[in-house]
Amino acid sequence: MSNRKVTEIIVGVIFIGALIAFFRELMKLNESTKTALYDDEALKELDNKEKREKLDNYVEEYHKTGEWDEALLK
Amino acid sequence: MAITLDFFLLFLLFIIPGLVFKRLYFFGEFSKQFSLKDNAYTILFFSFIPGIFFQVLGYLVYWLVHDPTFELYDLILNMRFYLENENNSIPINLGTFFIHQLNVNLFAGIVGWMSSRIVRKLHLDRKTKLFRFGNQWYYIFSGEIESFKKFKSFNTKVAYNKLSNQNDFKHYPPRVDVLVGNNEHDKTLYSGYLIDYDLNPKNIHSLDKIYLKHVSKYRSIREGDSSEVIKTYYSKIPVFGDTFVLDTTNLINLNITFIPLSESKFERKEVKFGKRFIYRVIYNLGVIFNTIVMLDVLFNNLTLSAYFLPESYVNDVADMNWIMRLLFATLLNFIVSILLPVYDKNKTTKEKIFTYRGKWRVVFTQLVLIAINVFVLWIFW
Repeated sequence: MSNRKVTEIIVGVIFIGALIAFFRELMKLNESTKTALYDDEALKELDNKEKREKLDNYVEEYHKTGEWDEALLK
Repeated sequence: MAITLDFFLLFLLFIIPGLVFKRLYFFGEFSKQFSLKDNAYTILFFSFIPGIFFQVLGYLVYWLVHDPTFELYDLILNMRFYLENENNSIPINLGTFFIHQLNVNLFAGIVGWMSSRIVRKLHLDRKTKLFRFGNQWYYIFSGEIESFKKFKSFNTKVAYNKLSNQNDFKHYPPRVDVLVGNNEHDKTLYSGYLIDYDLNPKNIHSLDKIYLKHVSKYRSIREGDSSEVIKTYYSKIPVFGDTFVLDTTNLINLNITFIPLSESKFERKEVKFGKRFIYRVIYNLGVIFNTIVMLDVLFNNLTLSAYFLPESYVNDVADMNWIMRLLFATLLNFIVSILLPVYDKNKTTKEKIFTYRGKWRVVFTQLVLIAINVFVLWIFW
């Protein structure tokens, strides 16, 4: 096989690799730009009654004082 | 007939690529901006503009790739001639025209899909009105409105901004207090966590319904109310159920509270991102480099490796059989790998995380392998 042919094969393999990498990046771009109103994990936390009560207190305190008191979340 | 045919061509050439572009550009929460229920003239006009762009660009690509002397315009005219005179044979291949059209539509689709994601990724829609999507309610409910220029400068003292002083709005569902009522004497206040919302299909700027979870209803204190529900001046009655759907036709006002995650969580995320990214880039570059070296040594007589290897080595390796070449390529791979980060096995995230922590153990193994490799090469060279 001539050197030129082999170089073409190498370039071809690299090109295919680059193409795969490009599509992977595209998929990542799609993942990272998904529109959502909240974190899925945060939503799960809401189903926990204890956590929700803490959150309610956290928000009510904020409504009263205008400042977030992080200690209430811990 | 002529008008119908012209319209058909106009539709095929410009409107369809424009529609394809719009369909893929408006995605997710913004997909309502693409609707075929709109006024026909509006649809045609706003599809025609991007359609022209893609058709011209498609033609340029066609002109560059194919015979520049051959005019696509001729092709279109010929097609018109063919359609009007069915008995006449067409001088060009009609298939070429449809392949070109397919390419233009594909191109419009890819550009539409990518550009909207890039706009979101670079936050261009938050920074400039030009790129802003029509769904204002999404920006309001997601908290992204707080990063708009006007709100950002106005709200610097708002606690939410203070805690989340970075680009991502990772937060709990917003807590909303909704006041609804038919008249001044019939008002009800609800509060809960906003999970979803519907826009009015006839007017996407207007809200239709909101979906809440863990809802409470406020009313004046009544006899028999338990101490748990009685607050200072009112009773807060929990509304039990899985999802609370509220029609917003009689919405009076809406108070939204974004609940920030703790500041420390944000800081940790930011610090990790920079290092992770750099390590991943180093690792990927190393893998690409090693692949090229391996292929070059095995199949390409070291044409590319000659740029960084001494000439004597290149000449010697070029005379070797494939097993010895494989050994030599592996040796080069090991040497390069010493500089690369390793997988962080302690992190069980979806994405692979690279680190230099604990690398010395791997380096030791690599040095042993290099020694064996050099030894074998020295014996058989």
